[in-house]
Amino acid sequence: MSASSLNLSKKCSSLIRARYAIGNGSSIIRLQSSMTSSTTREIWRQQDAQDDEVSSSVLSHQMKKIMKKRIANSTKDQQHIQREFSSVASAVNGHSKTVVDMSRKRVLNQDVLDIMNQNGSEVTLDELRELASQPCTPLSLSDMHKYASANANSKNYFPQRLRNAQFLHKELPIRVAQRAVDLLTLPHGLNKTAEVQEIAHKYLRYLKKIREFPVPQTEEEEYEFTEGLKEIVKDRKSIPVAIAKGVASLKDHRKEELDIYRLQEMEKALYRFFNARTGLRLLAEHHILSCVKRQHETNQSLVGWEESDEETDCLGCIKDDCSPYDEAKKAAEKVMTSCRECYGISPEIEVLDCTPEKYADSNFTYVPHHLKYILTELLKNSCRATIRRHMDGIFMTEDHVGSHNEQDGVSTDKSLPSVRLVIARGAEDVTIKIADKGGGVARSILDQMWTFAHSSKSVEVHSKENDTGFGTDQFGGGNVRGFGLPLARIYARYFGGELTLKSMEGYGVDAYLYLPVLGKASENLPKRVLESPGNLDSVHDGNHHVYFGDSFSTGFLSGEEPWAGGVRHYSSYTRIPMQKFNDIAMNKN
Amino acid sequence: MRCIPESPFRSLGQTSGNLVSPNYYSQRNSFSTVQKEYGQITGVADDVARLIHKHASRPQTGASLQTLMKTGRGEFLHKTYDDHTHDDNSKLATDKILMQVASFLRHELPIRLAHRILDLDRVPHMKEMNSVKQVRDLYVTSFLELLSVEKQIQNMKEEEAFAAILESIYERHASVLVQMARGAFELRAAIRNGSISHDSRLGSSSGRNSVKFDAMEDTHAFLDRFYISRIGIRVLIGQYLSLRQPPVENYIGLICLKTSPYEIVKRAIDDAAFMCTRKYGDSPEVIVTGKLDLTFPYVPTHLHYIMLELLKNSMRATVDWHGIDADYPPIKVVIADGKENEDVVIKVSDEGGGIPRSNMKRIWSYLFTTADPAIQEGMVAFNENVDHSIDSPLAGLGYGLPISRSYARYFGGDLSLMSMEGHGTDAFVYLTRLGNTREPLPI
Repeated sequence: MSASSLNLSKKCSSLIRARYAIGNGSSIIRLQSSMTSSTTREIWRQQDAQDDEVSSSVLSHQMKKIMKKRIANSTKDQQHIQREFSSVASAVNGHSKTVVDMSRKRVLNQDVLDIMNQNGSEVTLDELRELASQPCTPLSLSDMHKYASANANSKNYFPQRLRNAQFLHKELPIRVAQRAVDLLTLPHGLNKTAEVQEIAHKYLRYLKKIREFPVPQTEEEEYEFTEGLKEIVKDRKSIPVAIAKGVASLKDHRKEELDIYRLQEMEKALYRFFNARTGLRLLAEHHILSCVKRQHETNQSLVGWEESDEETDCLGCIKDDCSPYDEAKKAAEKVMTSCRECYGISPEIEVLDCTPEKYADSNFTYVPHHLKYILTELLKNSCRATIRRHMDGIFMTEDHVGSHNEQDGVSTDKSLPSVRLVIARGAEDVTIKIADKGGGVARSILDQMWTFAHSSKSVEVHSKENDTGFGTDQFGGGNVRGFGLPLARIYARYFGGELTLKSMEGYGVDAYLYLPVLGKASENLPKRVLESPGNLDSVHDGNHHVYFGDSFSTGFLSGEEPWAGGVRHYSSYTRIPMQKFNDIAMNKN
Repeated sequence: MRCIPESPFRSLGQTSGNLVSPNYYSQRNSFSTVQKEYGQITGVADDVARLIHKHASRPQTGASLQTLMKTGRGEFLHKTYDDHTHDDNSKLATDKILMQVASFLRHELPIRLAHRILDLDRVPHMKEMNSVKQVRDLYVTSFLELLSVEKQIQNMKEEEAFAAILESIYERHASVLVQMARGAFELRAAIRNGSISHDSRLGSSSGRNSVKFDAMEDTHAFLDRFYISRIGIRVLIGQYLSLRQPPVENYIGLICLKTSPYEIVKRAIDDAAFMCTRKYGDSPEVIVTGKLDLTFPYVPTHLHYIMLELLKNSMRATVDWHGIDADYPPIKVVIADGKENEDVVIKVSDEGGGIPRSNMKRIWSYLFTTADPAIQEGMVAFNENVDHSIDSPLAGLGYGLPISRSYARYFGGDLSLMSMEGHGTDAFVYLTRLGNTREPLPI
């Protein structure tokens, strides 16, 4: 049984690969990718039996039909494929649901067993599957704000901490398990790379660790638990680095460019993973940082804050009256400094607050380190583009003029066009526009900037920036180029915001960052925020209705996000916001 | 055996055959059933229905800006004629071009019209509106009229007759935009009155008067298809008819080889300022920067329509936001271009207060409008055969932006708006520089 099902999935994938090579009708490729997902990617998940049988037979029927059509102008290759295909089709048709299920389990089994064997993990496969198939409980910003707001001296403080810890104790294993499964089922061999396997194993260790803690009942246990979490939050900074390396090694290994549909599938998986990871981290960080009593000893570099003393009025991760202007100023200073270190010059970053008077006093509740990450990333991109264009320009004028005065050639910050950062607050959103004159990119490649497996920098720039640290990401250490923008957008969307780039080829790029104004108590959440991925379901793949700002279209045609239009994984679109949380967190027994 | 004239547009491998979705036909049951239903619903005789279905089953053929230019120059004559030597100055060559294009249109237009007629029959709710029915009848009439012409246009006499027919069709269809807008208005009214019940897809209405137009994606998609296809048909006819006119320097038919965005923007600024001043007594200054000496081949009327619409919106927003008699911040227009670019990009930025993000969807909607009902009533009574002019009957109905976007998208470009609530709005117009993108052909 299992042998035949393995064989089956092998055949499927080889067939699909062959079809990739030949197919040029988009509908066919789409059919195939739906087949890929239904046979390999979602394989481990339990599904309705009937659904399954129907879909597999329909699928094979459709493929047969298409193949027939295609065969009409057949070559030798295609005939070969047809033979392959009909055997697959008959296999899919002939096998009962149980076999398909078997093959499902098989895939996860294999991957997990590989790792478990290598590293001797103590989490069993059944446990992992059991945990990962539970829906996780979505939290909103207002929930998080509310449960962290207890005054350290009030008598409510400790019971609240305890409830939070108990909630986390139940919630985190589910989320960690889901991330582990995410990693283990990354498509196209990404899950087989050493880096990714290592992280997956790390997740499995966390899972074990969290589950080793007893459900916190006393202050001591709660303290221990929080300390344990701290280690986890600190530890995982290496993850984007490792995944970037994994993606890079995959690219090197295959030599040829990954074709677009495979790339899309990979992007989708990575987006989902990082999106969910943002939620997981935020929960843990928030719990650690909202520990008022121990705040002075809390390591604030945990979340990348260097000037920790300034952040005293935060509640956990959340700041009541986050000032976008101050954050932008700080980020601008930092970027200008590191830009000067790297290139010797830096464009001036002008920060302008254009908020109309009537909104000037309104509060903006947000997570400052998210905001800071996004701004820094955007400003760095703008500065880099400006300098690179400027350098080109200098060379051009030199050639042109011929005799060149040494002193004129000395570039100063003033000779670079400045980067403008404009902030405007409105009733709904805080909007931040970052406009540079760095030459822009063509419309057709703008989409690529949102993909994880992409880097626009040449090799020599790479090495130069590595030396000075300008190119490194804000995660500890490594050089994670290409991840900055997509991660920034994940942060922006997390609480219902949006990040969009508009390019004017030959002129510059304008980045628009929309962040919902949440207000003092963050209780009157706009609809958009209520539907944000972070709020509803942290394993959501971002394929819900996203406000692109200017377009009706969701999904592929919009060209905004290459991963749109796919299937959602494991947990359903749960709308059980507070009830479940209350059940767990407020249960006094 | 069908006799299709060798079309110049086919030559670049640009037939849209692969754009026909596989389920296109299965959507409509079997042919005979559909035909029967069709006859009953519409009251059109069976053979007309058959003709329409026959033509709708053929693929539409797309034309890029470049193809239009090359055909107009006679570069594709060898596709049709054995003796294709031509001299730019010879009358004969021009005649050949005209006959070639006419033959192509005779083949292509019935197909496009047939696609639209079937689409008009399918769209839920809209098809029951009186204005929409009239539009449909208009399309059927023109469709039959085209079929009455011989398939191959062999000599100049036939060509002349064909041109006369196209001219009358072109004029007759000028009011279609207004008529469809009226159809949309009737649909709104019908939903309000409750004479059309909401089905679940339209979204449940919380109150009697709150109609969720945003949720009517079907209707939106239909209107988008309809308008963009209409632009295509009108460009083809317009190009042909203007090829018949005495040649103008730098023009091939409608296409100006040296379209200067700066010149067009300047003209649009004058028009918009005139309209703004007439209404408010003053208008904000407009500063144009960037590459002012740029020229590229395009259809100037399209670009003018888009720019006028954007500038009008920006001026109105600026005046409304800052109040009459205030000092207005200038509106900034940037024209961007490099040497190797694929696009010409024009940005229009104003500081007119912007739009909240949750409303951004509505500005692209055909069904939502902030215009006061009086204007709409006026529009319904309005029956002027104008497509777009300064005093368009569509003014204030919120049609300008979506139609502008269709114009931009028609030759492969795009239009998008980014707004900063509380500050201002930036509009980005992308136009393909080489004009080698195939026109979009909705099914």
